[in-house]
Amino acid sequence: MTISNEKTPITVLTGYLGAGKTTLLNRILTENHGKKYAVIVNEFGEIGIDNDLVVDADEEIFEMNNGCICCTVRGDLIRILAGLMKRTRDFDGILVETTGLADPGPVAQTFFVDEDIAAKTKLDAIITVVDAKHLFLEIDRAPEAQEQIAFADIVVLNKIDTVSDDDLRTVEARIRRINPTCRIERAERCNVPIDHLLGQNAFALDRILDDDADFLQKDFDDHDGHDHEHCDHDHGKCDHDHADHDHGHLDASRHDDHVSSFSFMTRDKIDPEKFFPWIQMIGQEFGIDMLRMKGILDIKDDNRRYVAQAVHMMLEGDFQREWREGEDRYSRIVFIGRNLPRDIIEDGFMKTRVTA
Amino acid sequence: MDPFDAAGAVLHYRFEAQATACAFIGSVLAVAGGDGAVRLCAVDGSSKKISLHDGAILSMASNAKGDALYTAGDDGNLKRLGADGAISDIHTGRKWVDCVSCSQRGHVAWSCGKTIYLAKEGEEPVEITAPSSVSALAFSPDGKWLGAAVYGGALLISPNKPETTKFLEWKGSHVAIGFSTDGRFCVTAMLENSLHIWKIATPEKHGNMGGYPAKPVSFDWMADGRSMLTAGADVLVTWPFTGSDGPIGQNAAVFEGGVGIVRSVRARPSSRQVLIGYAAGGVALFDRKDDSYGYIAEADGSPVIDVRFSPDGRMAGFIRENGTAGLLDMGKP
Repeated sequence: MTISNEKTPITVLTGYLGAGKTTLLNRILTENHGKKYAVIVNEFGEIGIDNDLVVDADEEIFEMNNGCICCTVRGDLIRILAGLMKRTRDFDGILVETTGLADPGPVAQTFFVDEDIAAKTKLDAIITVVDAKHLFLEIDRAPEAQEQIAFADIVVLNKIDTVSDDDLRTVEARIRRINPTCRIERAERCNVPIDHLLGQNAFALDRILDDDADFLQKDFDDHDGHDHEHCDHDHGKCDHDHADHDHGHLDASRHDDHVSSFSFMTRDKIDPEKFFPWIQMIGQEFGIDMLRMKGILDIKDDNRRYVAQAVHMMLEGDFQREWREGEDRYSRIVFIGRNLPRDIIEDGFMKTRVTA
Repeated sequence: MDPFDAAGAVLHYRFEAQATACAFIGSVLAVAGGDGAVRLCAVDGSSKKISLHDGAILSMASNAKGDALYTAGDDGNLKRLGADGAISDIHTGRKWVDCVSCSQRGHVAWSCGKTIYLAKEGEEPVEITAPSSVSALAFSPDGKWLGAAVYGGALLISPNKPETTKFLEWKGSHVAIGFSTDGRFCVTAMLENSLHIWKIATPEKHGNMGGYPAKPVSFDWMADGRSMLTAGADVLVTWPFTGSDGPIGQNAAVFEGGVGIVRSVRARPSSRQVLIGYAAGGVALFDRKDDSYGYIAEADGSPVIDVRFSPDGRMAGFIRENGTAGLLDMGKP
C-alpha cells in the first residue's frame, strides 16, 4: 500500500447561529463533486448534518505554557485531528464548524503551534458565513461577528435577497473596512459554487495577497482623493503632510469599530535588518490584538518577493517567486486587529525602508 | 544480543492500513490498525487479521495476565479480544473511545472525551469526569494510581477508591503520562515540547524538563528504575532517578547515535538494553552495559510510533505509522 504524504486540507466554517453555516455545510457535503469529507461539529450545532463521518467537538481552548497569553489552541481539535489522521484515509478533506460565538483565533493557531498537526494537515481557508440583514443591523454591537470577519479568507454574505441593494453595498463596505483582504461571496441560501470555497490554499504563503492586484491599484490611485478619516479623530496631531508621502494608505479605522484594518505601501526597498526585528517586536507587543497580518515585501538586494503572515503572535514568512519582468514592485502590509495603534505601526514600517 | 545479528533476525510485516498502537500478548505482537483491525504477528512469521472496529483503533492495551487485549475505537466501542479469540463488547457509546490502559492488578480504564471509566476486569465501571478531555491514561506500576493527562496537569485517581483523586497542577496542555517504577513520581509530556514531573507525595516538589526539539511523547524507565529514557530529541536523553527528588534539580545525560529525532523508547525488562525508534523510521538497540549501539531496522521514512518488549523481555517489536512492523526474538534477557 502507499500512504499519501499529501496534507489533508481543513476548511473552517464560522458564523453566527442562523447565518447559514449548516446550510452551507450540507451544500458542500451533498454537491456532486465526488469527494468525501469528515466533519467536525460543535456540540451546540444545528442538527441535520448529512454525512457519514461526523465528529462532535467540545471547543476546548487551551493556553500554551510559553508566557504568551494570545497563544491559545483548540485542544479538542488537536485530539480529533490526530484521531482522524489514524483512519484509513476514507476522506479527502475536513470541515470544521465552530459555534456561533467562537473566536477563530485558536482554531487557526492550532495549525501553527502543533507540529504533528502541521505535518499532516493544512488550513485551507477560514470561511465566515454572515446574514446580510442581521449584519447590517447588528454588526456594531457584535464584536464576535467583527472578529469572525477579521479572520476570514472568504466571507459568504448570505441572504442578500433580504436587503436592498444600497444596504448590501453598505454591508460590503463595512466588511471591507474590517477585512480588506477577504473575498466576499454574495449568496442566497448559501448558493456559492463549491470551488469558490474549497481548495483555496488561503494560508499558503505563495497565495498571500494574491487577489490583491485590484486593491493595489485602487490604493495608490485613491491616495489623493481619500478622505483620511483618521484626521477627524482626536489623535492629537494631524499636521503631517500627506502630499510628501510616496506611499498610499487606505484608512479604515473608526472609533466605534471593535475591529479595523489598515495597510501601508511603499515602492522603496525594505531593509531586512530593520524589518525583521521590527515585525517581531510588533508581534510581541501587539500580538494579542493583531488578529491577522499579511504582507508582500520587496526586500533590498533580493529578486524574490518576501511573503509574511501572522495570526496573533504566530508569524511566518519566506521568500517566494521572483518578481516578474516589468512587474510593479512594491511592498504592502495589511494589519487587521482590535484597536491597533495605527500611527506607531505606520511610523515603524516606514522606518524599515532603505534610506539612501 | 548483538545489533548486527539482531538486524538479520527481525521478522518484517507490512499491513494495508496505518498502524496506530501495538502490544504484546504473550510472545505475539498485536498491531492495531487505522482500519479497525488487529493483526497478530507470531514468531513463526505468520500474521492473522481480526476485524474489530468500524473505523480506526485509537488506543490498545494488553492486560497484566497476558490473556486479553482491549481496543479503543473511534466507532465508540471498547472491545476485549481474548487470547482464545473470543471478542466481547466492554463499552458501546456515541463518542470516540480515545484511550485505554490496564493495570498490573487487573484494572482497566478507558476514556471518552472528559469521561474516564475505571473497572476491575469483568466488572462494571465507575465514571469519573475529568476537568478537560483526556489525552492519555496510565496506571502506576504499584497499582496505586490511575493517571490521566489533561489540560492544566495530571489527574490521579485511586483505582480502589475512585472517589480519592489528586490533581497535579501545571499550566498548559499535557499529552502523555507515566509513572516511575517505584510509583513515587508522575511524569507528563506537554504540547510545549517538554516533560513535567511531580513527586506524588509532595506535589509542590515538581519540575519541568524542557529543551526538546519535538514533543517527548514517549518515555520509559530502565529496568532498574534508576533512569528515565525520553524521546523528542536527536539524541537519547536520560534523566537520573537516583536521589530522593528524582531528576528535579538534576541534569540530563545524552547518548548520541542514530539519525534524526527519537520518536519512541522502551527499556527491556531485566536488562540494561533499550529499543529506540526514530521519526525517520529506523530502529536501534542500545546497551547501557557497554554503550554498544546499532540499528536493527533501517529507516524507511515513516515514524516508528511505538517500540515494545514482551513482559518477559524475550520478544521485541516495533510499528511504523505506515503500517509496517517488526518482531524479534532476542532470547532470554
